[in-house]
Amino acid sequence: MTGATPTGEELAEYRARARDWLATASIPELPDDYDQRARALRDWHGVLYEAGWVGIQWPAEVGGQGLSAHHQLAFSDELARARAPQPAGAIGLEVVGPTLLKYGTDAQRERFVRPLLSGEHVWCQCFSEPEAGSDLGSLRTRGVVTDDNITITGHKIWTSWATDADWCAVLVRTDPDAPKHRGISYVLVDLRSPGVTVRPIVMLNGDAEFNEVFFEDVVVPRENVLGELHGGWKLAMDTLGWERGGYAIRRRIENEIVFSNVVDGLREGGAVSEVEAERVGSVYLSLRAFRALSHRTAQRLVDGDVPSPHDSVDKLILATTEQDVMGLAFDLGGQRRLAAGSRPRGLSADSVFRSFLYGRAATVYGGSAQIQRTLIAERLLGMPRGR
Amino acid sequence: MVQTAIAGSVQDEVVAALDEQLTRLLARPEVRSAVHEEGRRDVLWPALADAGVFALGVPEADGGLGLDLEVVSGVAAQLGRYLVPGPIVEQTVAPAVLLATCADPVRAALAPAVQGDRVLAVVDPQAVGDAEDAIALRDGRLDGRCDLVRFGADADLLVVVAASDAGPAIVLVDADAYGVTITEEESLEPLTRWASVRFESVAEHHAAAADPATAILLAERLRAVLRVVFAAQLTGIARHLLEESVSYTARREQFGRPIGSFQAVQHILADMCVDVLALEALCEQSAEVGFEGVDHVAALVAKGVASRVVRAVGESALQVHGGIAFTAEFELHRWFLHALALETHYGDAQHAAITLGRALADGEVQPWA
Repeated sequence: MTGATPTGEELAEYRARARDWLATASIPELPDDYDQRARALRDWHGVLYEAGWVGIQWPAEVGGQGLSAHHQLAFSDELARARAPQPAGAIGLEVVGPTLLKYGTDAQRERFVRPLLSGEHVWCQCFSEPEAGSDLGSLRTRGVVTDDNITITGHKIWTSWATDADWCAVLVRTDPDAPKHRGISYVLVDLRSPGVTVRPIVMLNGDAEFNEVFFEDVVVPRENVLGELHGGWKLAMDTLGWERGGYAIRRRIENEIVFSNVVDGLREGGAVSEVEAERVGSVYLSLRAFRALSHRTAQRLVDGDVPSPHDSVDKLILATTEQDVMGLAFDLGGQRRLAAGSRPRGLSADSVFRSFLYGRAATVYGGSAQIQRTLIAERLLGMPRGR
Repeated sequence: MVQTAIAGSVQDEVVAALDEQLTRLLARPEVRSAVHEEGRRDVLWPALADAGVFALGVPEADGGLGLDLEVVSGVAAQLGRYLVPGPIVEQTVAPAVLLATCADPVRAALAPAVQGDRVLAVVDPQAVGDAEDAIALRDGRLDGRCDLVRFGADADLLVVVAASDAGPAIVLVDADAYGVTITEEESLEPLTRWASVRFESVAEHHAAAADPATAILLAERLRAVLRVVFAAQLTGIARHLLEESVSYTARREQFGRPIGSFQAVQHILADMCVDVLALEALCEQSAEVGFEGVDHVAALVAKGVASRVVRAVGESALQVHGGIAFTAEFELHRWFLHALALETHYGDAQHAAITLGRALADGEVQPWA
């Protein structure tokens, strides 16, 4: 987003500073309960922001630290080492925010970026609909455009963290007569606007992370359109690029922390069989390869190479590695892995089970693994288009 | 970062020059068949020596090019892509690692290897999964045996990793020294030649290090760098297998369209691509710390991932090529077979996984140090 490639010494110095800070910070323990967890993360976001660890790669003039993706990566790797959670607003920071920064007018950047970074505004993203999943371009949420406003009516689904969010990036069909990818606008909507209803969906793991969002004649000022009117598809692809590439780095850190906890659990007690050792080591190989790939991703982000078919590479490797990590943690629990309140291999069965099920979604959200494979084949390898 | 930029451009130059040489030579049918069918090591060897391949990582004071591990690694990948046989990794890595530290008699012994005039083999029981003390150095005498030594029968000079009372030590032995017996072993893979090397009370040898602590350090470093560079060579093989698969499936038509337009085929290619890109990133990262910065864990990781990826990518390459892949005439399998020979050398993915899994569980290794 900003910042030049740093020298090795600069980066090492920055990393050391992060390590020192994390060594004395009071890192929160995350509760199992979803709502309590969300609150703890929001508090932690505030602590990180005050200390200058949020918006590391964002320009200084909008409230960021004016550094590079390499600095962000170094800090993220230190979070993994310290087993500290990341700032709360994942969608704002890693997914919608970069698009806002790239396509926003000065006024929009001035208005939205600072509260996004400070954690005052938490963002979510309303893209998918009941009839527009992998085929996102067929979305039907309607926006009637007048000189001053857009009036939005429609039904969005699978919107993560909407109950915690203040603002939402919504894809709206503003020109019903244009070809399907050409009539879409990218609109920033205050979730407290009259006519917006958020209805949580309880997931198979008990969390209510994602939601349905209903828009009934929600009036939004024209100045909240990001980019050009009807030109939202390009921005949506940019956001999805970040959701696949930039977000993969964030989620990798969380996977690495789970892996560290697994290793600790193994050290606590019980003999480790050769089969188990092999599986632990095998997952470690995958995580190390993923970590190495992140360094290339950071350089891509510095170079502004987003969206790119390489985002799909990051997403696919995130998805398969996450499922390997969570599958390992779950299976090591053996017969007791579903025994509520128990701690097989030193880990909470409840929490591991929740993460395991959540991990199964990694090959679905942000574009399914099948969609990513097709994108890689056609856009990166140049294979002839299939039908 | 300025340093890296310079290294990057030198690497590009060396790789480009080699690329041009090898393309030209291998375009000649008699060269190609001698190298890829008969597995002759000697055919491309002079070209590699001329290009300075064996001198890449050797300090300039010792007649080398003084380039970094990144360059050596990049060249190894290129040699994998072109499927060049021979103890090239050993010949490139061992002098680079040893000459930076070693004693004078060893310098003299290694100098001709840097020019490519003497062929070098590494005799390390760990490379083939044998006990650490399969070769022992006691009271100045070398005893023991190691099988499956790559290009052992071609070698003039043996770089031996032996167990001593103080720990592992590297000694250099002339292949024709008294008490050394080298017996060729047949390989099922045409590009690999093996030998069984036996030492019986061998007294003529040079220790690479002056003291036991340096000896241990050098042995660890040699093994780590060899793993990283073998991993790089496998990366090049994997890249070639991917590129061939992409171009073949884009050409080959069935049902009136290229088979590469079918999703079932595309998704196999996409998985190959992700594996290769992650492996390339890993190899790049393992090499950028330089000869002296490679640690044992990073080396095991690189070799483990490379072995896993090249096996999977090779099997997928055979699959998407269909029947033609299974003919002796079609060349694809040569890369796959050579990868199989290198897959287990210094440990396959399973070996790396078990070793690392144990070390993590025992607390010897921290995952994110």
